Amino acid sequence: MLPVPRRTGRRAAFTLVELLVVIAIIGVLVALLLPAVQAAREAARRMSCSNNLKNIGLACLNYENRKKTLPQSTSQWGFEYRTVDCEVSRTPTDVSFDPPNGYNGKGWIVDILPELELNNAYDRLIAQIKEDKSFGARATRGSGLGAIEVRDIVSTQYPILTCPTDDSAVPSDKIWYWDSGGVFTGVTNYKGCVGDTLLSTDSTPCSRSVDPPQTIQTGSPDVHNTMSNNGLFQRTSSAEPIRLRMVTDGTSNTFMVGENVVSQDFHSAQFFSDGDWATAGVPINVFLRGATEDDLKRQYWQQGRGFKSQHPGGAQFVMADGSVHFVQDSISTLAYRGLATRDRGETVGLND
Amino acid sequence: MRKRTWQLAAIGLLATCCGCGGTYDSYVTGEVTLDGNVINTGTVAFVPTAGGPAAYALIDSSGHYDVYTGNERGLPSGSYGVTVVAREAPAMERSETGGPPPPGKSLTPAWYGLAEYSPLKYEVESGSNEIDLQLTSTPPAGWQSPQRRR
Repeated sequence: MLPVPRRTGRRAAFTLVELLVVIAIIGVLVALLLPAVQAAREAARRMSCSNNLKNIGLACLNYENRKKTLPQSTSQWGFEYRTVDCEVSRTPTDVSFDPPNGYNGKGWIVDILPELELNNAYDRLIAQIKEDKSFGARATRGSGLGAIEVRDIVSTQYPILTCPTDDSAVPSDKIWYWDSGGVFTGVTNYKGCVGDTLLSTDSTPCSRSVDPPQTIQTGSPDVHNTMSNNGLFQRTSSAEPIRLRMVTDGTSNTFMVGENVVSQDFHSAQFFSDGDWATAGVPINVFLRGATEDDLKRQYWQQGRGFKSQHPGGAQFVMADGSVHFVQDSISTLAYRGLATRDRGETVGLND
Repeated sequence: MRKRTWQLAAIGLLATCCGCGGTYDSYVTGEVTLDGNVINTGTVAFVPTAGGPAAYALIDSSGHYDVYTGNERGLPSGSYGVTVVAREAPAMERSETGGPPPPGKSLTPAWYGLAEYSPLKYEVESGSNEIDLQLTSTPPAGWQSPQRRR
């Protein structure tokens, strides 16, 4: 019979202190690593978002190549088709305009759907608009873009229009004109730059009454009541199309499309509607913390029409030359406004 | 004794990790009053007089504000003009055409809404600043309502 080997001396084991030290070291390592992992994940999401912007920018440029104008929006309000120059003529000029497809409230993003390989959605939306020329950006009316025939399209959340960093970019039933009737509409994280014009509070074309944090600029026309905006997209652009040759500030110094955060925008986050624009008259990344949904909808909706993103420290833009840039929160407000205008002659660049 | 050393090292490490400061060197908080009465709604903007980002705040229901630049708390130190506009809640649920309601009546005098007329000018120092915005309904000298351009 073989002798059973017996352990001699001290039994092999860890003491409590040793275990605690090991756990503490692992804890510190994890604490050090976790922010790095989160940052890497955010960097990937940001890259995906910048890829979306690049594609949208190229789609706009391809459209311009084909049609000789940038993608167009058709305002739902015919009476607002007027041009006004606050500094020179001070006289509103009414533009005689009879859109072939009525005042259907279509946004510019619809125009580039074919360039984004969404031809079927485009064909059906346009067929519906042509058949029913009434303004229908309202689910309860059931006409135009609100018709039941295209409900499946307007309810779709397209990945190319979605920034992965914004958790709130999901179909919503809380956005103006569609917030009754329980219809969920697809939203966009990307909005065309209307320039640096203001959203006034007294509905005159050259208002001098705006609410902070909009920064006033003398002689700036109101973004809502005129078509005298100095950016690349406005909701009345089908009456006066904007062409790239009008970008005299230089295409690499002019914002084309920038980012939006859906949870701050209960006013016009739908991708197909004529509200798919934002203004640099509101500083970059303005978040109205503490405002309720009702506040954002009815009281502070004008302050919510600026560009913003959930990326730390700034927001991304595609310029009119198709390049994508990250613009920091700390950009000088005047430089930011200068970059948003197409022909005001500011000598600003992305590094100002 | 060795355990004490470990603990100290761990605390030191944690402190280094969490001690990262914000992007901006100044913070501004305060209370907004008009003729001594608390204003508990509206928005505030800090517009730099010499280039730089404009900062902003929402006035909370107790009349206090806390300034942000972009998505981060604080602002660069320097001199600022301050604008304040507070409004009554909109009177209507929706406008007649179904759009957002017209803005409510302004609770603050018009000159506080325009950076070029607002008498509120402050030097924001590095660190925490407590700036109470005390508005008065007496217009500043030489105030004229800006002409409506049309």
